[in-house]
Amino acid sequence: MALGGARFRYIISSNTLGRFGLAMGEGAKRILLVEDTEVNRVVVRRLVRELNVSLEEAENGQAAVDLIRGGRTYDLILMDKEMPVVDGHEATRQIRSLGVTTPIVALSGDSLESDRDLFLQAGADEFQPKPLTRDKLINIFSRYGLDYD
Amino acid sequence: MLISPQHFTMRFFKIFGGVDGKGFLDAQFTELQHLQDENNPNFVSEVVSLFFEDSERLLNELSRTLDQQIVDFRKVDAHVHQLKGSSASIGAQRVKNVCLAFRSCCDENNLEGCLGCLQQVRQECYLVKNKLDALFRLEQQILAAGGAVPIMSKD
Repeated sequence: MALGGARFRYIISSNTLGRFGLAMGEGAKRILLVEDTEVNRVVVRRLVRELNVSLEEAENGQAAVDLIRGGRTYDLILMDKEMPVVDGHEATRQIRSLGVTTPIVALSGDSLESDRDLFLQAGADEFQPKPLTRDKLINIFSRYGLDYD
Repeated sequence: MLISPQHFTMRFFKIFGGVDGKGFLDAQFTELQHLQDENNPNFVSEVVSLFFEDSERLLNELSRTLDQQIVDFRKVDAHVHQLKGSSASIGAQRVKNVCLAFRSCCDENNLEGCLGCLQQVRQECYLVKNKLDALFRLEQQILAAGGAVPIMSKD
């Protein structure tokens, strides 16, 4: 998709097999991962593979906002900070301005107070330093009531 | 004389370098190892390969960008940020640490500093690649000798 010279890519990669090899039913929670670095997306994809969730991915903040404007809904959004086109702070602000109350967990490789504050001011619910591990992800899911069993 | 799996395992830990803040690989690499199983038997090598493909592209972009008459330090910083993020994701801590210094040089619009960091980060990528290639070769040798691939404890 091209828009004014910029290109956006959405990746919808459903985690179609849960822990017991069952197809995801309507009950599977939907997670949106907003992350520009492919290596990081691959790791999170693997992290969620055994959890009962469906993962969608956006390569930058603009792609994430477009998905939500287009009517897609999620149970949790994992939002990276530094991304091209639209960064995590701005994407969070825009998503909140649309009236979306989905929990947003901000992710950043820099554990700066200023980053955390900016994200919280933009409307994120919490801030997590990267990289994500399985334990951190499970804790996040538990905090926001996502059943991953 | 048959070489025992234990022999290869000891060499494996020696190359691994320890999770001690000075080694080439930190605890995140151990996390990746724990994500590898019979359903995802090549997960670690696949992620590592992806990292090196990506890092080569980024290093070339960095070279090109720093070679311009007027250097766009924001563009340089964006590339370094990506490299920092992906190196952190595979546990390549020395690469990540050079990227931190690199970003400081970008903030200061310090061309000489950036060029020095570029050279250093290239070197660190080369060194960690060699280390990982040796690790993966050893894994194959351990498996061929009838052993199991050692995985560091997360604790």
